[in-house]
Amino acid sequence: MHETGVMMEIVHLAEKHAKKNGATKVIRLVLQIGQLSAVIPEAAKMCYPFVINGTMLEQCKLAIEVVPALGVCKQCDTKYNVVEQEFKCPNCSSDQHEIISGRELKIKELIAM
Amino acid sequence: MEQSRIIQVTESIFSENERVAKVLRQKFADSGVLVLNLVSSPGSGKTTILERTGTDLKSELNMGVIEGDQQTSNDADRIARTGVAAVQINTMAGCHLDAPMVEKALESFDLDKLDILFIENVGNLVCPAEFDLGEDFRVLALSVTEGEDKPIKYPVMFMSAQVILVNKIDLVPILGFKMDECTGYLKRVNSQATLFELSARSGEGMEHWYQWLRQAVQTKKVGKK
Repeated sequence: MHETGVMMEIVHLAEKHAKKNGATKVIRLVLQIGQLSAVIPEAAKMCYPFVINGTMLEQCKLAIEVVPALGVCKQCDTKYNVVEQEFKCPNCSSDQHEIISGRELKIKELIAM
Repeated sequence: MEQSRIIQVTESIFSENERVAKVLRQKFADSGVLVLNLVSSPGSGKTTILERTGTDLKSELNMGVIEGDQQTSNDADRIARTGVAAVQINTMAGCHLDAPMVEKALESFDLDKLDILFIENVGNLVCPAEFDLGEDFRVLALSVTEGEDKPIKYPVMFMSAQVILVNKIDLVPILGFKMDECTGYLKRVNSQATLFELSARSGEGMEHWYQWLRQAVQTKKVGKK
């Protein structure tokens, strides 16, 4: 499953940063997953227990913040959720927009000791 | 008792791919070769478009093709039969090409001798969007058999493309496909992309695509160090 590969990369990165900061285990991992990213939060949660097995994250709780897909209308400056509105401004119906959030796929922070 | 602390991580999850993509982009710039990352659903006609392009333009442009599929060398074999050099990457369970895979495949090409390098990605409208291959342009092939509203159903991939090829237009009368509706959806998710309507099978519309390619090749060469 696609999410497994991504989660393995995330665990790898978390371990690297924990080690760099002199920690031996990670107890909380906070991910930001955007509505427009290629990862489904539910699938990420499903494969997480298998991916952390044998790593510094074995006792680590996973938290996922879903970042909404927000755009700004170039015609009237209205901010709206482009996924819910299918890329059409709910105020003026323009399709000219700039994406301002929703593409995130990152570790926001981790708590280690 | 050990103190716990919060560690901020600013490094991107895709940092390794981004690092290699940057190296590739520089290599391509040094050689003046135009690189196109061809993406689409499986069966939209990417390989047929490349076969036709290869056959029609090989007398004027030096082309190379990197093919990506889970299994078989079928697509690389098809391209090779047109007389254009092709190399196959098999991803096995992988659902997309990444920059390290492309870097390995480049060992089979002399970039200085190429005008265009086409990278035909694994047929997949989701994952390839996240992986920069060092390309100049991402070219998305959309077949009219996929329905008018495909762009709105897979917005991330359509947003990431600079060129969109609407393929198999010879089937429009049979399907009752509404081109205006489709281009409307396309403009909604990506108002900047260059659009071509063509049929790799009948040849209709291909000349406009070729004109764009010739121009892009020249522009890339002018920028060569």
